[in-house]
Amino acid sequence: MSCNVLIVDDSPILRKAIKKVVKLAGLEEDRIHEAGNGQEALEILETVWIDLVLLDLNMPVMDGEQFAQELRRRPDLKDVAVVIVSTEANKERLQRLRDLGIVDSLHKPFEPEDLCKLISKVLGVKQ
Amino acid sequence: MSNLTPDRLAELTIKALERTAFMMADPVTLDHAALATANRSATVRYGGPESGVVALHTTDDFLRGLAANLLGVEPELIDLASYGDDAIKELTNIVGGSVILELGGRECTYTLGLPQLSPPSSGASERSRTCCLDCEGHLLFVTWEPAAVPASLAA
Repeated sequence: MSCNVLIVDDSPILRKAIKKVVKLAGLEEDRIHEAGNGQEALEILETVWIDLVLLDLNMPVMDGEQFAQELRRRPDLKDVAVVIVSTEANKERLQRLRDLGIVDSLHKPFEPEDLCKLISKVLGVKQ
Repeated sequence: MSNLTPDRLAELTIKALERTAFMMADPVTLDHAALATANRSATVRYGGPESGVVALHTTDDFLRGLAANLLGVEPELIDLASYGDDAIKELTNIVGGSVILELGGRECTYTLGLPQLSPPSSGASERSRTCCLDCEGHLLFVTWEPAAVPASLAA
């Protein structure tokens, strides 16, 4: 699958665990990018074309909601697909994110198969 | 005040371990002497209709196995200095997320803080609930401690 995915999570070990699942979904390793917070993610998005962002919410520096707001403010980035992968359960916050155009969300702990299906669904639609 | 039994706490943690790290765990009788030997701890606070804290206590050996499973490598290859702290914080975060979802259900209005490393367990209050799991030969303790409800509200 010739798409680029960006994993945004403040836990390096979880980024690596998610990366394994993304590879199972058929993506090549060099097309999987990582960022430790929203600010780092924006810097990557300024230099690399990204098809899908897998976004944690509770992160230091710039959290996932701030990142999503900033993404939608930027004309060149506002159409990037974003899927929430987080422990977030607050329905009001999730609704705010849906209002920002978030494609879908997956609550941790998730089944790896569910993440694979979600990636295939989102990227399949984009291709 | 919401209630969460040690058995339910164990179920939530077992599910987190299975889904996140493909690790099998079973509830065992709480061993306070073993809890005192747990040298690795992390906590995460939550707020909302009620507040509280979820804490995990364990050992280096459990964390080595957890990190190995998360990374898909042999435990001998794990550098605990690099991955031990991150592994316990992330598992604490995930268990904390499961706890607030259990407390709040589909209409959840709880929010979760960032997980933090903490000193080893220093005893728990009467309000706390603790479960003990045997995870592939290593013990993991999980404590849920709801904040005290002010007497004016409890009346």
